[in-house]
Amino acid sequence: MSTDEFQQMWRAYDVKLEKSLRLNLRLFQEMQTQKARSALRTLTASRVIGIIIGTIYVVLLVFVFWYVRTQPLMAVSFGVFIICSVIAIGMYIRELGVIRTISYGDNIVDTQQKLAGIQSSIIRTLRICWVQLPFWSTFFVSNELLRKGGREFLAVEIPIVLFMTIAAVILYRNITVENLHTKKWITWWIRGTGIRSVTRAMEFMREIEEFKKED
Amino acid sequence: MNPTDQHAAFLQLIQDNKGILFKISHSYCHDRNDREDLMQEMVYQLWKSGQRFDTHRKFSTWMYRIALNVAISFYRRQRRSGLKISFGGDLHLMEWEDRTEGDGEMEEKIELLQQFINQLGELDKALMILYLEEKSYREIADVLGITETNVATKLSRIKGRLKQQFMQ
Repeated sequence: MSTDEFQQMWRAYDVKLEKSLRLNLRLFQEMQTQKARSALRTLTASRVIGIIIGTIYVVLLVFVFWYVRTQPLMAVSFGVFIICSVIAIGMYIRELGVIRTISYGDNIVDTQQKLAGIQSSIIRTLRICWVQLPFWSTFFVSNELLRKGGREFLAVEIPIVLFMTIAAVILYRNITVENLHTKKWITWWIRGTGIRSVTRAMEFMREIEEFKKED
Repeated sequence: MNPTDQHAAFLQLIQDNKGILFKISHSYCHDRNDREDLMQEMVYQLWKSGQRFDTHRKFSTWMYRIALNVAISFYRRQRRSGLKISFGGDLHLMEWEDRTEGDGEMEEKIELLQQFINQLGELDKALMILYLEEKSYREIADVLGITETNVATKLSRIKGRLKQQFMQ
């Protein structure tokens, strides 16, 4: 069977559709007036909500930072929380900018790559969260606690801080979009957290890269 | 052109190209309700994007890009949380008027061809549909965003598999 015959079949299909299919476009008016949610609007809404909640969170952190500014460990911890949150908000704002450039009228590869990139971007935001990990074990350590706790307190606190720091470094360096397919424990972890849509988006990005390659 | 004429012209363009919209929705959705959803979404996105259509560009290329991008995005979404609008009663965007039987053998071959297309990945599906629509390699490359050489190589591989399937 020659490939021309496939095109002939497709033309025959077209003739059949031309005769028998009708689009009831009187319904189009109703489609326009009803509120329509699209994938792009959902992506935009989630980023806007993230920015609003993030901004409120940063304002609260700044208040707390000001209150604990004379306590070095607490001030540094809250300082790191503020910086990381501001970076995360900045990433969301940048993503909003990218979403605005997405147009279904652009070529398939570029559009789908941008969409999948946005959907998998939560991994990049999570990396910023890992940086904060060690400071979750120090944000409550006041001067008074250090003084009263003494060596016993330090004997417990220092190993915890060390453990959190090592965990943060491992997570920050390894949980990346690129490592999804090379490190099984990352795939297992991501699936375990239920972020399946992120996994699918990252797999699709890999498919797009393969599709773009010339064999 | 005043808005009413624009609206009428747009609806006529959609009606004239309903076949390609249906074939795309059939290739990306197995379920009849999903096909209706996808058709609604393609028509809506074509309307929304119509304001930004550059009249110096070819309409069909632009239409294929939008329809295929919408179809791929729709196919990849797990929850059909998008555009599904129920019109009440038994009203549907797609209606079939003439259900008389055609050439049985041809219908079987078309069904087999459609089954083959349904098995392809999202991007290969788009490539195959554009080829069957008799678009040039240049146009296919333009719609997909890959090189013409890449189009030729991938098509050659897909056509080989298709011939094997028909020979079985």
